[in-house]
Amino acid sequence: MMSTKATPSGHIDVFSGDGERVSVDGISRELNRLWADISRQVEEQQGHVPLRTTILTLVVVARGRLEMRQAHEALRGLAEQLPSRAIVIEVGKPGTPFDAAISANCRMLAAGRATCYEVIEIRAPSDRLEALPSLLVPLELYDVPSFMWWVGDVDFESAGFRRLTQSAERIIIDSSRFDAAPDALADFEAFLEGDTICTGTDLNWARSTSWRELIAQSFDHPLTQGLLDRVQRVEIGFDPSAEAQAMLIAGWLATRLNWSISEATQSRNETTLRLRSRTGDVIVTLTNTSAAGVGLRSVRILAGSGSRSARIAVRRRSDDLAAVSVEVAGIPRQERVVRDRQPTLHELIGQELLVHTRDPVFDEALDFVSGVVTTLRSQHG
Amino acid sequence: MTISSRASTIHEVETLDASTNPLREGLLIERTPEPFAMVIFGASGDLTRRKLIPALYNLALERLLPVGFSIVGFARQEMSTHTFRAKMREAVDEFSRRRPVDDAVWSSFAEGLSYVRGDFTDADAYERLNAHLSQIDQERGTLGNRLHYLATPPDFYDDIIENLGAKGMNDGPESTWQRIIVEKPFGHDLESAMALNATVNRVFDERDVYRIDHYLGKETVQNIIAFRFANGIFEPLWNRQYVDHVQITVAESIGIEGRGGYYDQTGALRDMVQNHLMQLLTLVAMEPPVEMMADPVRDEKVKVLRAVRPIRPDLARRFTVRAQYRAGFEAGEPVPGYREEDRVDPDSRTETYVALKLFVDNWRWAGVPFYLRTGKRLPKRTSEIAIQFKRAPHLLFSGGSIDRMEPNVLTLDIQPDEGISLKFAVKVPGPMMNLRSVHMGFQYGTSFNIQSPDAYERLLLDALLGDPTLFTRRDEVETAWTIVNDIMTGWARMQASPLPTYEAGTWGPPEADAFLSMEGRSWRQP
Repeated sequence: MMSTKATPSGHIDVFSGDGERVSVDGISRELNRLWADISRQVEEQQGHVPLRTTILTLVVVARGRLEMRQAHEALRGLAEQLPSRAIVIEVGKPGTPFDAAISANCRMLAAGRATCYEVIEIRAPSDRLEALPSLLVPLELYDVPSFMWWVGDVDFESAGFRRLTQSAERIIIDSSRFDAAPDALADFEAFLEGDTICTGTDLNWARSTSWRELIAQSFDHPLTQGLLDRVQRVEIGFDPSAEAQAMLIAGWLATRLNWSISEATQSRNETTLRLRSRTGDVIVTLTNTSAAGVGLRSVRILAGSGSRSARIAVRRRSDDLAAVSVEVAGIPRQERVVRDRQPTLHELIGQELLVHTRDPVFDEALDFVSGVVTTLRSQHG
Repeated sequence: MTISSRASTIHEVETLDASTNPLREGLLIERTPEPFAMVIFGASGDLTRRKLIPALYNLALERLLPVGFSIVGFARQEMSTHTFRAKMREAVDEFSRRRPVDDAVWSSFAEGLSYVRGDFTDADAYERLNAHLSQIDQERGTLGNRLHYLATPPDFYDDIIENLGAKGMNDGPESTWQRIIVEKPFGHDLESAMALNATVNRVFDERDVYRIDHYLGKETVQNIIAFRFANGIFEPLWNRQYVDHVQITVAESIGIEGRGGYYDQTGALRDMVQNHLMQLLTLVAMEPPVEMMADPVRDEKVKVLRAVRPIRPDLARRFTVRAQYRAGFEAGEPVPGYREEDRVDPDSRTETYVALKLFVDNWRWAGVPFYLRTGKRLPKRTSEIAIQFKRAPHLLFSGGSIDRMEPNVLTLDIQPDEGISLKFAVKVPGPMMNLRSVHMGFQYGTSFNIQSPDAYERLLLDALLGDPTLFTRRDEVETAWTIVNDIMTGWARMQASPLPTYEAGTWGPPEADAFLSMEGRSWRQP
């Protein structure tokens, strides 16, 4: 049942569905045994016992082989970045028994240093999710933040989801995994606004970070900053899978710049929002470019008029490059090419794991998106 | 009147604050610099090639530079802009921490690079430079913002600064800025430092002067402040009641690396103690600043330097040790002694090692010795600050290994492996009360496997943003020189005494060991 690899890593099937009850004590005991074994391995190789630092607990909820594979790939990448305890919950078929396995791994770095992580994998039947918190809560590490990442789509109304999220401090979803991403964002917003105490984020928010930074940077320029409250038009182009990113960018601009919705219309490939700013109307169009890419394609902003105007554009040039141009009346157009590679899944998760408190900027953007969805739903009956 | 006033207030609330960018809220980067033109004086030199251009490229790669930024190289060497760009590309290829270089980003970056040839003493050259900068303002929208970087030998500082002033390049339209970065050494003694400061301040306001000590750009150095003032548990112990002594070590395994001409005129005291070690001393000993802003932080650092008890010339022998390395080994290879190094006087008395005992005479630190040491050709490259605490007041456990129990030590590792560790005693499992010391360690590399920016990246960005917190203020420089000057005067009176030596690859001369052992202490071997 137990196998330990020769490298500074190990794996133990604590329980294999043979009827033995999965217990916290059993998992903890085997984990200690595993670490003692790994410490011996490291000591043999390096001449000293590895120093372990653990900075968070990450609970991962996955369904099916594909999601489990993605979860494990992401954890391997994360382990080098953020030493942590991961508790992977594989949601299995109803009626199957609970099952658990543990593994731990130390990656040797230069100068005798090592980053170590441990994974507790629990297979749980989908009809017994309500029992899981009794395992999860004692296995989460004290004094460090606890995150819960749902790899696939989520039924925010389900009892299982609500029960499992009771112990999480921060929930990470990926709206790109949902069939109707804007609707999912609206449901997520409703959940976070409800009686839960946890905070939340969406990986599509992390995916949009670099573009938000580029747009914000364009308005650091003293000649454009004064035009922020004179934005007239925003055009956002996106690839089919990036509708949520486009919505979140619109929500981010609207909430940072105090715009409110007055009208929302939608055709097959385009959503048009008429918003009110302090100085007048702002038209925001979100266009599905139907291109083959997987992200935002362009964001163009027109602000001011005549001799006090600016055109800002961020556009994708290739898979890993973006171009930013700033055209201010009276000054030649400036363009700069920047690297803008799509982050991998583990990089996105890693980025979100660095934030363990509420992100009010995201919350407000999400609230805006929810408002747009509600407006569109009401207009389409 | 009241109604009008209220209306005005409401208007202010509703209007977006033009002095800040609301889109920045929540982003990791609070702001990026306004468009600027940076002039590097000494652009054909080593510092530009190894540090400055790679750092600027890395900033561009991280998208921390604004659209339209421009960098103008200025030096005596005949070179076209095309050649300058090609040379800088080679430099980035060789020295950037972000390799391979991204061709598209480089190409965009290189559009902002240009070169002006000129002699640092030639007034006409500054005329040409100024015209070139005005053209850049027009073409690239840099608005008159300037950052002048003195990357030349210090002999040229006066000429460059005077010429910048004479051509009005220290000034510009309102709402623009003109700053200057001065590389160390800031003088070679108190007098020359004061003269340099006077020249700089005749032309540039002190708030626009950025004296760079790259040590302050290191992540762990900044973390000293975070560690001390963001954790409630250490600060109560951080004083004479609990601390026995402090050791600050900056050790180098390399020799003088072809800089014999410079080093032989300088020595370890001027080259390392006056700047790097004094900076570490101030950060570890200072009081909490009222806020994390440039002047409150620097005020507290200056207070520490002012509280350092002067080592009067007649006390230099008691409070200092200096030495020179002789032939030995580095990593198994034989290396020459200092006096055999190229361009070093064979009878040189320049110190390559220095150890000091300093006292900070204030309420917090009265009576606590701070031992500082630095040297070349020591066994390894390492920098650390070790806070050694007093022993437990009553030893409950006697006999056996107990008498040899070492006191608690908190170590702040600065390089090469950044981290913090604490040494404390535990009981060895078993029936006997055997104790031994163990280390509890935190290492940045294993907790945040994220590459830290190079010190120059951080400092250049701060200068472009107008944040001088991590730069040295005039009074800091002069107060540090005052301490060092006294020591140099004392050493000058000891010319007749033989200069101690140490074998290359060892931890310094026996005199340095005796220096601590006579007080019942010993140097750490980091």
